[in-house]
Amino acid sequence: MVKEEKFRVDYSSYNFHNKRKYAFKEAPGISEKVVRDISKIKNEPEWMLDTRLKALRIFQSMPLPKWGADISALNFSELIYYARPTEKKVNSWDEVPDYIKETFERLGIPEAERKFLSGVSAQYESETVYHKAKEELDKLGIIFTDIDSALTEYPELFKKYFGRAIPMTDNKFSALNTAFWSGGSFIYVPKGVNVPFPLQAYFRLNIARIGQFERTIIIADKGSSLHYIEGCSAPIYNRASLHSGVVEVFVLDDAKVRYTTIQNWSKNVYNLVTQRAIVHKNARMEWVDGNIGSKTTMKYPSIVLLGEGASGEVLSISLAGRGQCQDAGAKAIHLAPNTSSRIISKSVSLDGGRSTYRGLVRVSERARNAVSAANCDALILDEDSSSDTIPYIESQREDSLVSHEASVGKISDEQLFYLKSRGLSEEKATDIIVSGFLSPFTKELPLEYAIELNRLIRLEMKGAVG
Amino acid sequence: MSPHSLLEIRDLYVSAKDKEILHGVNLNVRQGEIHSIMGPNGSGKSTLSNAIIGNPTYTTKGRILFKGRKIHLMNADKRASLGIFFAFQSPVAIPGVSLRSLIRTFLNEKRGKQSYEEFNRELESITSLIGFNRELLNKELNVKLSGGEKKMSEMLQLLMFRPELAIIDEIDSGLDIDALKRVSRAIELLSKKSGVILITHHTTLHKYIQPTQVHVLVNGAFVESGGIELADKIEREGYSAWLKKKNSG
Repeated sequence: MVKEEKFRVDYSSYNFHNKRKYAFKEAPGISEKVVRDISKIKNEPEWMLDTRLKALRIFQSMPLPKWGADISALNFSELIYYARPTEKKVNSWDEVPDYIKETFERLGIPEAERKFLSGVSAQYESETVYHKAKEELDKLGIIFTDIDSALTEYPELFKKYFGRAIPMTDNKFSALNTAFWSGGSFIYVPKGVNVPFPLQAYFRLNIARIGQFERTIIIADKGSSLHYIEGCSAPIYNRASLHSGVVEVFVLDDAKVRYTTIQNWSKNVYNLVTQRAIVHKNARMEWVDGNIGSKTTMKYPSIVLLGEGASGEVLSISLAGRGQCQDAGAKAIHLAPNTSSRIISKSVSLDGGRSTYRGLVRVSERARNAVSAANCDALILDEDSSSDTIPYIESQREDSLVSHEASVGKISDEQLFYLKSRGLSEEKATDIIVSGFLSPFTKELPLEYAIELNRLIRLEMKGAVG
Repeated sequence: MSPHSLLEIRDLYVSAKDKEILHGVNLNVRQGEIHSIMGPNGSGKSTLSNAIIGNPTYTTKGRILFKGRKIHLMNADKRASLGIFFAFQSPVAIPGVSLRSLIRTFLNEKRGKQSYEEFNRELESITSLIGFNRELLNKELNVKLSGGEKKMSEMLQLLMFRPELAIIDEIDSGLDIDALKRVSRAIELLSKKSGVILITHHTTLHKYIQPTQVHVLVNGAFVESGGIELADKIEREGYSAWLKKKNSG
């Protein structure tokens, strides 16, 4: 908390819209032409165009999921599918266009840039415009680049892993992403290398009706370790926006990856994300996933425990306020002996918000001695709000140890009164209790993110309580 | 209203769930005084303190004045901000909130933002004064603490808060002798500038803290007030004398 002052961010500044010219903007709607144009502008190889076109057909033939949050209001033909604000990528902070700097400034990010962003990849709308890899990363042989460059610069590595964890046929939105993907990060950590600091990406949406389909691929080679942080915020618009990202993570033998996200899309964004990690022998994957914003989120970070002794953890929180539906959870698929998974989910519903934990734990025939523990706690702040817990457990082995614990609660009058007797207002007291409830998550965040998260939560609760 | 009066309670009736518990009590506490409110279990001691601090579970009739201001209709947080602090007998647990951060938060609220250096200095000096185990500062509030540790946590908060009126509920239960001695000394120091109300049903406490006045509360009414000699009487005879009187009368 020592650095609190330095990270004071005026969140009212989130709700703005910078004027600028777009270098390229597609006409709204979904068509083969749009896909071909994107691929052409990016100078992509033939196989990528073919992949996109195939994915488009799959997307068009697949129905919307019949479960989960209500997304029937999504109008695909009203979304703009590709936009990028500048023609070429830049390599230093000085080259970043002023209007983008201004945006970062208003978000309080220059401070972070100076202090924390040793290797930074910031995504502005669909395209990565600013990317600065620290010399250290190069020295260690770490690849940290935007995904579009990766396709050109590391074609074999790219082709080997693209769509390997999440095939286009996985679900309607992975097909959509595969057809229209643009921007995102590509990371490769060589054998035995520990990335000495968290790699971070900031990105935001800043155009009405944009569809953002970022794609991220992370490969941690044998015995390596990495912490990747993705934080985002978006300004508020009238028309519904769609964000449908795909994140594929490959954790090879004995490697360790932690992927931290704090999602704060504006309240009109449909956030439908597919995230999956393939975890090899004795490797470990950790998803740390915070869902604060968006109108509707459907997001279930997955760990596929493929190698013997693999382990994984999903630690997630969600905050569902007015008009919000947070349908979040986790999937743990045990495919090998002695694998373990842990799921910790915390949700807060207020002001009419709906939060749902939806989780799947599957233990296959081969997964001898699998262990899985899930804990889901929900806090409901008022009578208009609701929470559901929907755990699916499918075990094919009798020696597996699978547990699921869930609790639903309200803030107790006793706790409120205690804090009020210390001179704190009802609103502040509620903030403190909610932050405390979420602290198992917050504790896992780097300091500046923890502070930002607490501020976001405070902002969400303001007016809704007391 | 008498001069320098801190707390003035006039004809206070207090009910919980439509049941009247206190039947018209009067109390006057000045700066520099320590009032010990004694009585058997169920006599209404806790009800009285809850009414003073504004627990919404209780409804009151009558007047409570603090520094001449009517406070009986104010919310608990407002009363606290005027300088009233209640040390709970069994404080509730608040998971995920550390004692240190809670103290920091309420002090910032009360006095405006204080520098970390200043805050830490103060915390350092008060933890030393009462022999507070500093490891507890970073633990979750009242989560998995012993009775004694909870008491110490309440006392630390009280001393950091520096209230003008401190109400302390059953401080002697759960504390060992050494801790009780140190805490008592701290309360006496505090009482030089503040008013203190001690709620207790034992007399042990008076070995370490000398009260200015002792009040005996039985069946929702003060039956006798006096000096320390009253506590001695209770030590010898218990509450039977008043209970009998009440029963036979």
